[in-house]
Amino acid sequence: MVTAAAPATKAAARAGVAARPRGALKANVFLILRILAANPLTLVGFILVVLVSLTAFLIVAVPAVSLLAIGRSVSILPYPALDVGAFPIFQGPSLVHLFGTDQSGADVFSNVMAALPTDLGIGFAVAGVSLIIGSLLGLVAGFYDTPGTLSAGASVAILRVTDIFLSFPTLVLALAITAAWGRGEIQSELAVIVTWWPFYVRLTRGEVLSIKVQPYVIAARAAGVSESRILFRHVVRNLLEPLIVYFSLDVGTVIVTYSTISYVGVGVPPSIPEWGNLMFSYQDYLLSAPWTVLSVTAAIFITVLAFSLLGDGLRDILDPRSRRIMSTTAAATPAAERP
Amino acid sequence: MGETGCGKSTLGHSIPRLLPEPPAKVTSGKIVFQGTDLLKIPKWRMPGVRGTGIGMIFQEPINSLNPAYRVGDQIAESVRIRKLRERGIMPALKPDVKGFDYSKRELPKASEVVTGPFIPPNVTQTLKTRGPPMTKEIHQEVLDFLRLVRINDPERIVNLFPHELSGGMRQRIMIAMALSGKPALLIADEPTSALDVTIQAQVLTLMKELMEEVRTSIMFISHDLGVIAEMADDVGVMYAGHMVEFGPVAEIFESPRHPYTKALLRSIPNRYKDEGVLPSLSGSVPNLSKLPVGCTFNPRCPLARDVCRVKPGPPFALLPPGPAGGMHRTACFFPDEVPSMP
Amino acid sequence: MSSAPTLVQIEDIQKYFPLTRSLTETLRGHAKLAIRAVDGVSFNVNHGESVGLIGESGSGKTTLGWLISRLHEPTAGRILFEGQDVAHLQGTRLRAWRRNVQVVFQDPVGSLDPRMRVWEIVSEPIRAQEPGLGRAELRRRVAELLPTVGLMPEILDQYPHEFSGGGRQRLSLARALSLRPKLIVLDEPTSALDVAVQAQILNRLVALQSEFRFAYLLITHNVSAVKYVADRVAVLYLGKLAEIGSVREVLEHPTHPYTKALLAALPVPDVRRRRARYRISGEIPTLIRPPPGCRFATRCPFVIDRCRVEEPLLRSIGKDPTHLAACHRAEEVIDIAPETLMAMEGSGAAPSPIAPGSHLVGTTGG
Repeated sequence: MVTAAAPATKAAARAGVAARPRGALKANVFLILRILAANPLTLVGFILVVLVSLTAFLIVAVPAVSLLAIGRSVSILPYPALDVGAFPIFQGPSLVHLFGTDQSGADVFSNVMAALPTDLGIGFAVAGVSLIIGSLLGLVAGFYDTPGTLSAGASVAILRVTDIFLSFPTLVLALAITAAWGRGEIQSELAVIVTWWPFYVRLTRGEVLSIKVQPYVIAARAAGVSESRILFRHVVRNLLEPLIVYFSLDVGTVIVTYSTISYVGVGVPPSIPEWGNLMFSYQDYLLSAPWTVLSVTAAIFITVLAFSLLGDGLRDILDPRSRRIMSTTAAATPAAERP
Repeated sequence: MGETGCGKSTLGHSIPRLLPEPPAKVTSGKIVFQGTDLLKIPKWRMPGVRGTGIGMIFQEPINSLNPAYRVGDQIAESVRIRKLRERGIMPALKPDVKGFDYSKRELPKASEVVTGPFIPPNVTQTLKTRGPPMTKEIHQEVLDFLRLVRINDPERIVNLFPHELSGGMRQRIMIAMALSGKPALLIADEPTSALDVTIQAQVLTLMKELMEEVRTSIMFISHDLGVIAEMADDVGVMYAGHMVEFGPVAEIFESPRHPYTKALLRSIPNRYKDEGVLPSLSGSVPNLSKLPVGCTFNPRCPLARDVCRVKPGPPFALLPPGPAGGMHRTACFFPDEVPSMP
Repeated sequence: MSSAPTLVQIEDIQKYFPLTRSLTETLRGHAKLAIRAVDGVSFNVNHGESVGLIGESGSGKTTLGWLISRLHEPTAGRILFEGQDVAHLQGTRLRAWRRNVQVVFQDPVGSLDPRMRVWEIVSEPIRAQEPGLGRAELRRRVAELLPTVGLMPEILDQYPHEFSGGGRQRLSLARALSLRPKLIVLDEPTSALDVAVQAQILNRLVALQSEFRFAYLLITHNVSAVKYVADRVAVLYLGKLAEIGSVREVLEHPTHPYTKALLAALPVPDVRRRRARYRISGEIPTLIRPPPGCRFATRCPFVIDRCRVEEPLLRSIGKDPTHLAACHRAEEVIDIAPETLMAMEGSGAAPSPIAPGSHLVGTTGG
């Protein structure tokens, strides 16, 4: 570290000027691991998200790859999903059937797992598209609001439209739209997106409004930096962290909402394994065969929990200020005054 | 007094145990207030000490007044709690401890105060009535305390919300609120740092007059050496979480016996640029999680030698009494060399 | 210093911030109100000179600094920068002009982007003004610049949060220096710092000025900082200049009653001067409806009827022709030392903690 006494050797100075010290990436990864280790819940969330995503990927990828490689589709699921009459109905959980079997004799574990890629994909897709639409609109509405300009008019328009959408209850609006567009995966996803993006507009605009009056933005303006560069270099850069955190928390919320829509019966067709669908078909057996309903519940619970824990932890990892607490680097002390 | 991060506010807040516990924890020592060790009594009894025993004034009067209530109601709350405690309806630190009795103070001489003494009649009256206090008598006391802090039209002010007042007025309200609990000790944490110079002068003058009038002990926390020189009788200098010097104000400012105090006093800019470079203290305050071994000031001290860099650091030793008398302590191995420090 | 050519000349500059009227106010025909942050100020800054701007919150000193660095556009008046009126420059020409004037802000935490590394922060003005420079070149220029503010070049890749308040203010200073501007506006550069660190920064400021010969506009409420850094001092009160002159003249022979009051109100770390204090009564009035006549009339111990009606103009007072003050009774009060004002307080009207009708002192910034 820089100390008052240490004279800057030329070599050290050159090394410092030339590039970031080698191993900075390694050090960063190390730091992130340390932060994860210090927050056990974040670590749990992180591991769960990795596990859930990996499983979902394998469930989709293994059959496709094996079909290409060996000409035969191999699944990592123990049994085919929604396979009516494959086994005796309503068997309790056992080593053969981890979550038992359901009213049609299908293996519940396979059903629940087969629904994972669908639900996770929907979660990412809906939250992702909403993030892109909402944050772009929010950026415009927040950054360009100098009264009397054309862009200010556009900003006001964006905000009013957002307000109109926000004034409808999300779930009711989504249900109404799917009911109108007809049942189907794409339709129902679009319906959720339509109700979802306004939240990102609100979030982004609020963040932009607070960032753009920060002294460092004023300082950049005083230095002659153009407005568009300020937007990207300062505003977007400081916006990414809250957006990523919100997004990761949001994936779980979307999954819950979408399952609700499917449960009501306007989401994906019943032929596709999906947690909302499964829940609907199992709801009558809550007392007689509780393992059916509880398995689906557990799947939703673990997935949503994983994203919540991860989202909270990301806040710490992404903020350079919180890294200070973890990092062993001492505060850089200014060199002594030389008269 | 001390610089940012020296622990002066933490010390002030730990006395009425206002630090959030956890993470804060007083790991050792005693806080003896009126003969009771505040660390030994359970946390739930602490509210009985606060307000009537130890009052506080904070730096940001806009944050320390509740924006949702009229200022009159906020002072009334404090008056009501004191009255309930005085009458034994609500628990205080000790059942028999009354609020500090301002009527026993000596009356200030008129020449000592600029605007003349002004103690409203009811403030000094000890009410003998029993039973819960009436709204009317509380209201009357609220007005009296507002007059005590030189607010000329308290009937109008009580009905205002904090945001309708200026910074100086809010700080007067805070002072009135703290005093209305009749505390024996008032802890003022940077009470004038957020105020403008001319307004700060008004509030400081007011506080100085009140110190004469109500005779409460005040612990005045400030980074402004000028304010401390003006207000204090005794001064404690803090550095990196340690008290490095304590003594009468005249001795601290005129013959400091710790190198840090001396360097700090010298670094106050008081010259034109053609009169040469400002003496400054090199380096910066150490990180409190990695304090230097031995004396915490040794890396920046011009007098430091080997004994300063080993454990344990210098004791907080008593010096022979100086011309001003009183107790003067310093945590330095070489207090006699400080006057001739380069 | 006064013989040096003028760098910036400000002529009768005004900045009003309009207040929005509520619907009922509009219907009732209330006049449009504005916060008169700066209301007709004229002065000049010469090449290589440092001018201190003292004032309390609401005096308009920060607004004035933002006007001169063109972060605000003036409502009226001219800003002549080397003879060119820059008051209403816009767009590319404004951005190109900005290389002449740089700003150091008060807040050492907020004025540095927390997600940028040191070299990115300090090189930002260079990149804005000289686009197309490579990363290695920018890093080299920043590494050269850091020692001039007392920082080591090894810190190029650190983040602002790794620095203390003083270190951050040095980074702000390095950023402002990076283009070698002709004027640096220092907006309360040391008020967030401790005494010991403040002395380091002030020494650095003076040393840099004698090395690079740029002009400073030091905006602060800290009289001791102005005393050390400035050649000339301007005292602002409620958006108007109360007094301006060389630093020695103003601090040692203050003429305007407000300057006297301000100097007397400073807490001095001298235990022998404890009792010799004077305070002016009343709060700072609002900038929305400033008092007619002299702005200081509501608090002035020397107020006469004329002060409440007729606005005093800045005029030369005393022996030094560059020492100007805006006071009708300047000749009568010039010899009254700030300390002796204490006796006058008692003879006046009863001190009121709030000026009549002015309890609604808005937070108009400072």
